[in-house]
Amino acid sequence: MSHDDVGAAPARPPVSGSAAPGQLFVVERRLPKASAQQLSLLQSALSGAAVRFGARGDGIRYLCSIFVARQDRLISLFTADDAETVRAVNQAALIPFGSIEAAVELRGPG
Amino acid sequence: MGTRSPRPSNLPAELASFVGRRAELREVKRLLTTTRLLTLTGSGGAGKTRLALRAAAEMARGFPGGAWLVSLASVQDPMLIPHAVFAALGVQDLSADLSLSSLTKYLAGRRLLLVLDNCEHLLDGCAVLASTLLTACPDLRVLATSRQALSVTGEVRMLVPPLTVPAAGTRMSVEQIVTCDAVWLLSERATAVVPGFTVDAGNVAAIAELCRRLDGIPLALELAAVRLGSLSFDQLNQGLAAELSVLGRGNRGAEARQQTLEATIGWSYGLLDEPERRLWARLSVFAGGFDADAVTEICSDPRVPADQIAGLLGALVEKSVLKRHLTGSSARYWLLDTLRQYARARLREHGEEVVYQQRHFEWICGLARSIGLCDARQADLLHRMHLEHDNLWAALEFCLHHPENVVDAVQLARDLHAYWGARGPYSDVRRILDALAEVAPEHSASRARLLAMSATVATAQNDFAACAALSQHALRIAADVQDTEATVIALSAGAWARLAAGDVGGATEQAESVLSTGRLMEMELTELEGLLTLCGIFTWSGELDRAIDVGEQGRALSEARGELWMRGFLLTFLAQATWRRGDQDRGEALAREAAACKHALDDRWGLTLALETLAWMAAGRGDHQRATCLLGSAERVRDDVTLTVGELDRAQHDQTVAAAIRGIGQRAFDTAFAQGRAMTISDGMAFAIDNSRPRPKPPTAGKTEPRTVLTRREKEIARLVADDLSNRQIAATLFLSERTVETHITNILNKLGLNSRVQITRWILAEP
Repeated sequence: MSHDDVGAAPARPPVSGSAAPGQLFVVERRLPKASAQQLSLLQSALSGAAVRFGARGDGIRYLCSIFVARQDRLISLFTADDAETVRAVNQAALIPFGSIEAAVELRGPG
Repeated sequence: MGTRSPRPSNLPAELASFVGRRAELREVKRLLTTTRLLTLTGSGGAGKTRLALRAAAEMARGFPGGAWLVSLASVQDPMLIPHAVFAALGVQDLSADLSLSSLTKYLAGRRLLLVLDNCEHLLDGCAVLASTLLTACPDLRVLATSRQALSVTGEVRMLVPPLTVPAAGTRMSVEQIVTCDAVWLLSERATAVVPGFTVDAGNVAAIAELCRRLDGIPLALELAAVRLGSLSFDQLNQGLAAELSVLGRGNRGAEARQQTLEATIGWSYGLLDEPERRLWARLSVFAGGFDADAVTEICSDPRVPADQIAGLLGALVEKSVLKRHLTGSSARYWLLDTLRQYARARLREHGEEVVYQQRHFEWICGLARSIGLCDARQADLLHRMHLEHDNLWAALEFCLHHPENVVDAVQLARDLHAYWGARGPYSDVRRILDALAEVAPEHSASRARLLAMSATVATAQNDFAACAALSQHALRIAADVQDTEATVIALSAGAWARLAAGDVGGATEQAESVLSTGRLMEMELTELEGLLTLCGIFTWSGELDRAIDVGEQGRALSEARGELWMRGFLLTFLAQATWRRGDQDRGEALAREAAACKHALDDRWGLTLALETLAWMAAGRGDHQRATCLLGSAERVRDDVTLTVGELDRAQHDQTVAAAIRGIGQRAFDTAFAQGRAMTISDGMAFAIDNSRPRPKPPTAGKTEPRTVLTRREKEIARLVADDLSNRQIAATLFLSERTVETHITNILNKLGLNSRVQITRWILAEP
C-alpha cells in the first residue's frame, strides 16, 4: 500500500461479517511523527482493550504492532472471530484507525 | 510544562437541594484522599451523579487544577471520549497527535479531579481512558459514576445505595420517620409543589409506604413527589401499586431496583397527556441540551402543535421529566439520561425514531447553513453552534448510519469550515470527514469534497504530508466528476502543503487558480480563500508588495461581508508583510486587530499566530522583554489547543527567541516567558493590546451614543469585565448563571459595536 493511499484512505471500511474463528486481522493507522512515548501509550491502550474483550470471551487476541516510521504508519495484528470485534476493540482503545482487513499469515521457514 | 494559575472548575450549580447522603458523602471524600480512581456504582436514578458532584465541589479547593465534570451521557462514540474531557477542561484539541496522547500530555503535572459521569455505555473506553491517564498523570484523581465498575487495576468501588426508608411493620414516630433520607427527600420535593407541606401523623403512613414502594430510589421519589400537586399520597400509592404489581417483592437487588425505577418512569409517562408523551419521546433525539426553538422545529406536528410547545415544555419541567436552566430571558432544557433512554424506547415503539433523528439532522444543517454564510453574525453563530456541540456530533453519527444523507452532510461540513477551523477538534473532524467519505459513492463530488475538506483540516494540524495526499486524491476524483467546489478546496489546501515543502511556485499557481475560479464563478468565499492563501504565500516568500496588495483586497471583501474568521488570518499576514516592509506601527496595529478578530471567535489557534506576530515585532524594535512575554502568552494559548509552533513560523519564532535571549539574557528570558505563559487568555489579550499603542479598529461598525444604550445590569457586568473577572467569577459575584453572564456580554459587545473584552475594558476606563 502506498503512502498516498494511506493518507487518502479514510477510516471505517465496510465490514463483511464473520470469518473463520481465530482469523487474522490487520488494522492500519496513520501516526504522524509518533514519539516513543506515544507508541508506548498506544501499545498499552490496545493491549488493555483487547484483554478486556478477551476476558469476556469475545474471542480476540492482540498479537503485536509494527511501526514504519518513514511512512508514519502503524500496522496492528489481531486474531478474532470477526472484524466487528476488532473494530470494537480498536474503538475502545481510543486510537483512530484507517482500515481493518482480514489477512492470511504466511510464515517463514524455521 | 510550566506553572499555571489555578483554573476555575466547570462543576454545575445545584438546581435542587442535596438531601441526606451524609455518610456516603463522608465516605467518598475519605476514599478520594487515598484512592486515585473511585467509581460510584449503583442502579439508575440512585443519585450517583449528585453525590459525585457534591463531593467534587466540597473537595475542589484541595486540587490546584480544579475539579472538572465530564458528562458522557451524550457521547455515543467511544472515540469522542478524549474530546469530551478536553471540552470539559475548556481546551481545544487541534493537534494531529492521538487525542489520548495529547490529553495525557496536557494533564501531566496538573493536580486536578476529573469526574467521569455516566460511564456505563462506554465502559471499555472509559476504562482505557482512566487506566492511561492514571498511569501517565500521577497527580490526577478520577471519580467515575457508572452502573458497573470500570474494572481497572487500582479502582476502588463504592456502591451508592438507595436512600434509607422506614422499615415496614415497625412503629415509628413522625420524628423518627422523617430522619429517613427517602422521607426527607420526598418531603423536600413535596414542599416545592405543595406550599406548607409537612409530614404529620395523618400522612406519615402513606409517605412511608410510598418510600418503601419506590425502594428509596431518589429519581423515582422525585417523579412521584411532583405529582402531589394533583394527587394525594393514597392515590400515588394506588397508582404505583398497579404499575409495580408485576414486580416481585423479594430480594431488592440492583436489577430489581432498576425495574422499580423503570416502572415508576412508566407510571409517570402514563399520567401525561398524549401531546406530553409524544413530546417527551421526541426529545430523546437531542444530545446534551436544547432550547424551545429547536424543539418547535424538530418535534412539532399536528399531534404536538408548535404553539403548544412552550407550555408542554413547562409541564414536563414541572413533572420533573425535564431539567431547565434559565439564562436571562432564554431557557435551555435537558433530559436525564435514564429518562432519555426510556423516551427513546417509546419513540422506537411509535416507529418515529428515524423520522425525528432525520429532523434533528436537518435542524443542525440549518444552523450550519447560517454559519456558512460567513457574515456579520459569525461570532454569535459560532458560539451558538458551540452550545449545540453534542447535537452536532449526534447528527453526524446519524448520518454515518444513514448514508442517503451524505450530500447534505457534505454541505454541513462545508458550512462548518469556519466553526471547525476556529474550534476543532481537528482529529475528530478529520475522522468524521474520512468516515463520511467512505460512505459516499467512490467517484462522486461528495467524496472529493470530503477528502478536500479533510486536507484543509490536516493543514491546520501542520500535517502537511496527509494534506498533500488527501488533496491529490480529492483532485483526481474532482477532475473525473468535474466538480469545481472540490477542486478549489483541494487546491487551496494543497497550496499550503506545497509551501511547506518549499514549492513556492507550485503553491502560488494553485492559490491563483482558486482565486481566478472564485472570480469567474462569482463564488465570493472562494475568491476570499484564494486571496487569503496568496497573501500567506507571498508574505512567507518575501513578495511583500504582492502580499499587501492581495491582502488588502481580501480585507475589503471580508469587511463587506462582516465575517471575522478569514479576516483574522488576512490581517495577520498583512501585519507581517507590512512590518517586514518597514512600517512597524502599522504592522503592529494590524496584528492587534487580527488578535481582536480571533479572540472574538474564540479561535485560539488564530490568536496564537497574531500573538507570535506581535512578539516578532516587539523583538524587531528591541523590546525583548515584551517580545518574550508575548511568546510566553502565545505558548499558553497553544497549550490550550495542544499545538506547537507551526512549521511555517518555526524559523521566525526561533530567530525571535534567540534575539531575545541575546538581548536580555537567559534568566530574564525564562522569567518573562514564564510570566507570559502564566497569563490567562484575557490577560494575554490585554497585554497584547497595550494602552500606549494605537487602538485597533473594531471588526464591526460601531454604534453611536453607546453610553446611553447599556442597561444597569449590563454596565455592572461591563465594570466587572474591566476588573478582569472571568464569566464564572462574575456569575458568582452577581448570583447569576454563567450563561446569563455570557448573554449579557454578547449584548454589551453588540450594543457598543465592540468585539472583545479588552475593548469593553477600554470603554469602561474611558467612562467619565
